[in-house]
Amino acid sequence: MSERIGIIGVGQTSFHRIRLAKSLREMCFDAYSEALDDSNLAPEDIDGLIVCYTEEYDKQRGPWSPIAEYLGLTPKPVVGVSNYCASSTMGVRVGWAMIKSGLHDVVAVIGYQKMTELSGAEVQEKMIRGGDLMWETPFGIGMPHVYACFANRHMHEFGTTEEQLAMVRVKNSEYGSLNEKAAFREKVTVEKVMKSPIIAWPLKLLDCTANADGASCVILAKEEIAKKVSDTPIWIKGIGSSSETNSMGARESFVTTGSWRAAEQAYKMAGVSPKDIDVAEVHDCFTIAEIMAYEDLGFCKKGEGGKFIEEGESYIGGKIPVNVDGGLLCKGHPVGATGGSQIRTITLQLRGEGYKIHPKCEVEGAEIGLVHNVGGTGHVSNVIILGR
Amino acid sequence: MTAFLRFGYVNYTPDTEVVRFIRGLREGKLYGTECVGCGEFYFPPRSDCGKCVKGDGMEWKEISGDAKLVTFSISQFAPKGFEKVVPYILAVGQLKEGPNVVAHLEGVEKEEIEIGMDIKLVVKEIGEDRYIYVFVPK
Repeated sequence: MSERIGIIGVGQTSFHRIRLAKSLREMCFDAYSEALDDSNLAPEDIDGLIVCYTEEYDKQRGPWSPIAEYLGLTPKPVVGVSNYCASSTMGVRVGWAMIKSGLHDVVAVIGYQKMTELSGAEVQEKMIRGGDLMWETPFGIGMPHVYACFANRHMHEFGTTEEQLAMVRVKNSEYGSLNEKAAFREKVTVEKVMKSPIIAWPLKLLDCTANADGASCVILAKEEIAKKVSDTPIWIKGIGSSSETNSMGARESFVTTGSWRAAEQAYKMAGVSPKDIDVAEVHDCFTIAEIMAYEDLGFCKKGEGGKFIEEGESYIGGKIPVNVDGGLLCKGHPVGATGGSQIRTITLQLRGEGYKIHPKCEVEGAEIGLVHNVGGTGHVSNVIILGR
Repeated sequence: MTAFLRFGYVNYTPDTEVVRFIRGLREGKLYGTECVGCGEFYFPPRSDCGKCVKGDGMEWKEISGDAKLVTFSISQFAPKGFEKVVPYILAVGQLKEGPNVVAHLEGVEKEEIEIGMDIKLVVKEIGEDRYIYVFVPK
């Protein structure tokens, strides 16, 4: 069981808010084709496909089926994985287990979402149905509301400020403005974030990510193959996963998504600690989410996330560069594709190819990276630690 | 219309074993359930205990409604279906009996809201024979 699982190919379409003349199978093709090219493998080398999404935005039932056909992968085994916004990291977890078990040698994990066919209010109406449908959804509690509840509690307990929340967007926009695959390229100031319209107080428009269209692909291989086809395989060193209660009322804390549990598992498995992380991608669906992630991942103590961003510790040159590709806030958030995009960024950084995002986004000499991907408001958390 | 559809501004759950909850709402009362086997108390009510998972049955218990504000948000935007209710204050309150509850907080100005403040969960009729529970300042 000591054999390692390597990432040997990554691909991602641009994430965008503009509705393109592209069907979802075509979007998936673009991500897959890029990852396959990156992996130096031939199509026949892929022996399993995992397709990750949240199905409520699609008209297609069982989207894994037409996608498998369109990519030329039938009659190989194909698995559909749906875990809210953490679907594609869950797909990587499933793929890891499929290879580790000896059932498969090389698995492609595709994540996608096409959300621009619906209005923002329609998307929110689907999202709120991921909460406690019986007792809480009838109050119109959506994603921004819950994260706003986290933010208010965090401000109350630790003195975190609205300006510190805004600083997360400012940082991510500095890098996101350079990322050609990001949907939101505007570099913003604290003042601009503070003056953007209130969505759910204290969160303003620019404290929130936005839905987008896009696809990502990660190709996993067993150690023997990874070493053969790649000079720079990136190894999955630790992989953790946890869940939280569906209803907000049943939560024990309102200053965490609960992802510290997944982080503990991943650190233990990888045999590393937070101070060993050279670069991280965290799930910044809202600015408060990134601040809580610093704490839950152990980059700083609980309650000090506001200070962490204010002191610039998550910029390149700080303690741990975080979301230096723009994060969800600037890349946009095509739900099922997001985790795969985070893994792509860390894989490129660890290969020394961060320049492919933008030369100014590269974290030089990075050896260990971390991906933190949260579904819902902590309903599912995946933390994956990667290394050279 | 099945009775549980009478709960909430928008309701997605027509069928449930705790439909009797609606009877309490009609009387202006809020009931939770307590596990006969292990004593775990639930509000909102559940018909099965997720703690001991024994199926010993549940007993209905009226709650006081007394609570403290744990956290909140003020929504300026509404998902589809909630346009008429917006803006609303979403609150999490911890009941004296233990559980946290999500509900709107009404009858306060933004400046008056303070985490830790005393609030009370009460029944509100929001249409003909249609109900929800809301927090109000105590």
